[in-house]
Formats: sequence, C-alpha cells, structure tokens
Amino acid sequence: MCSTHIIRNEDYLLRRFPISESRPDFYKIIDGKKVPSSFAFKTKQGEDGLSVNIKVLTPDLNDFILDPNSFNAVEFLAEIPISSGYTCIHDPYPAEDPKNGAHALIVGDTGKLAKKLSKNCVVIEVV
Amino acid sequence: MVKIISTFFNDHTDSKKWAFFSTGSTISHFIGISTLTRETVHQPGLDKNYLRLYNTINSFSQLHSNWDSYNADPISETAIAQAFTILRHLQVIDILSSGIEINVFPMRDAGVQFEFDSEGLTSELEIDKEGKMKYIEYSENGEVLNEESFSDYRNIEDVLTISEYV
Repeated sequence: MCSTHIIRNEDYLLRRFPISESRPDFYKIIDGKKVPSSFAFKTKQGEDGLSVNIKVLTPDLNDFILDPNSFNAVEFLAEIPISSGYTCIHDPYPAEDPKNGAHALIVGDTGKLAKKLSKNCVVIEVV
Repeated sequence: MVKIISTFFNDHTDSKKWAFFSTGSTISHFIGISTLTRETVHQPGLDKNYLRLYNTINSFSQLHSNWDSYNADPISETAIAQAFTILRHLQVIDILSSGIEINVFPMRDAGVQFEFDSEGLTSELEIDKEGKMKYIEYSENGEVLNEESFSDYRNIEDVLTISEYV
C-alpha cells in the first residue's frame, strides 16, 4: 500500500489514449500537430470522475499503457483541472484497477473540462 | 442491407451535382458520382472529406466494450445513423468543402461527436446514444462559451455557428 499523495498544480497526470491500427482514428491533425479528441477526457454518466494516473507514482509507463499497439499515453499538468475548479484526489487500488497504486480521479463531470485537456495535453510516444 | 442514397452538392460552379453513396452498417463503398451537367467535378477534396468521415463513422460499429481501456461503451446504432444524417446534411449545406477542419470521433458513452476547427472556431456537435444532439462552442483555450441542445437535424443550420466561418 502507498500513502496518499496530495495532488498539486505541478503534478503531471496521465491518461491512456487509444491509437489507431485497424480501428478509427482518435487523433486529429491541427496545424501539423497531433491533437487527441476531447472524447477521451469526458466522463460517462454515472462515473465519479475521470480516471488518471499520477505520473510521479507510476513506475513504468509501459505497464500503464497496457498494450503499445492499442494505446499510448497523454500527460497534462494537474494545474489545468485544479485551476478550472476541479478536485483531483489520489484514489489508489480502485476496484476496476486493483493493482494500480498511482490511480487518481478528477472528481465530477469533466464534460466542460475535456476540451481544455485535449488542447493542452502532450502525447507521449512510448517505444 | 445496402441502401443507395442520392444527394446533391454544389462544386462552386453554378451546377448542382448528384452523388450516390451506399449506406448500411457494414458497407461503406462510394458507388460513384454522376452529374446532371457536362462539367466534371474539379474539387475532389469534397468527395474525399465525405468519404473519410463516412468511413470513419462506419468503423465505429467495430468498437467493442472497453475500447478505450476505461470501460467505454460500444457505439449505439442510433448515434451512428444520426451521424450519417448529419454528415449528409453538412454536405448539402456545403460545409464539407468550406475549409473548416472537420473530424468525427466515437464517444465513451456510446455517442458520436463531430469536431470543427478553423481560425477563430472551435466547436463540437455531440450526438448521444439516443440520437439527441448538443452543439458546443469553445474559446481558443477550450473554455465552454455556449451550448445548445436540439433533436431535429433540420435545425442544424440555426444552431451551428460554423456557417459564419465559411
């Protein structure tokens, strides 16, 4: 078990993002730059918040990505949700991801935050 | 079942062109273009945009539960059908060839979203799993500026501010 991490503005948060093989494109290219669609940052109805990982507590990015042929990762500063009025909490070992001690939640419906995250996140290409 | 859809578009000559497309849950073939006039279509980009978006929407039916690894739902057939309707309507009102970057993506809760980007414009049209729609305008930095819900695609011209950017 790990102790609870207080998420601060300077923490980086990670989110897995599907990548296209035979599947549809999940990115768009704007001014030559790969921009993830905002869909990845929108909560579904009934979710408590948006699942992310705290980067500094994530020991291996390859483990986080699960399958490099299907997913990669994006990162963004916790300052973005926090400055928009969202609470970010460390939520280790949730029922749906019981081995993940770095799991965190951006609490609440992130529909209004999603576009901001998609515009300000950075795609991490894992090789 | 394959259904042939005919629609017209304006290729910026003064003539109306008719395009024929096949629709169906598994077939996404472009059947061909015929024209009511002698001019040939000089803007292949228009057809390319239509086909790119059409094939992308069609591919959403391949997404299974948990396609994003965070428990996303399969995309509803109603949302896919509504997205095809919107796509045809965007073509009819001449938005696809306007220079606005248009993309379409699946949503985690079984819907479909169109994204519109150009200088001064960032907006999305969300279609939920029941086919209801919401149009959202954003600031340059992604702040929500305005949102409006509607259920009839024929109201799209009243709602979409993208026509101001064409």
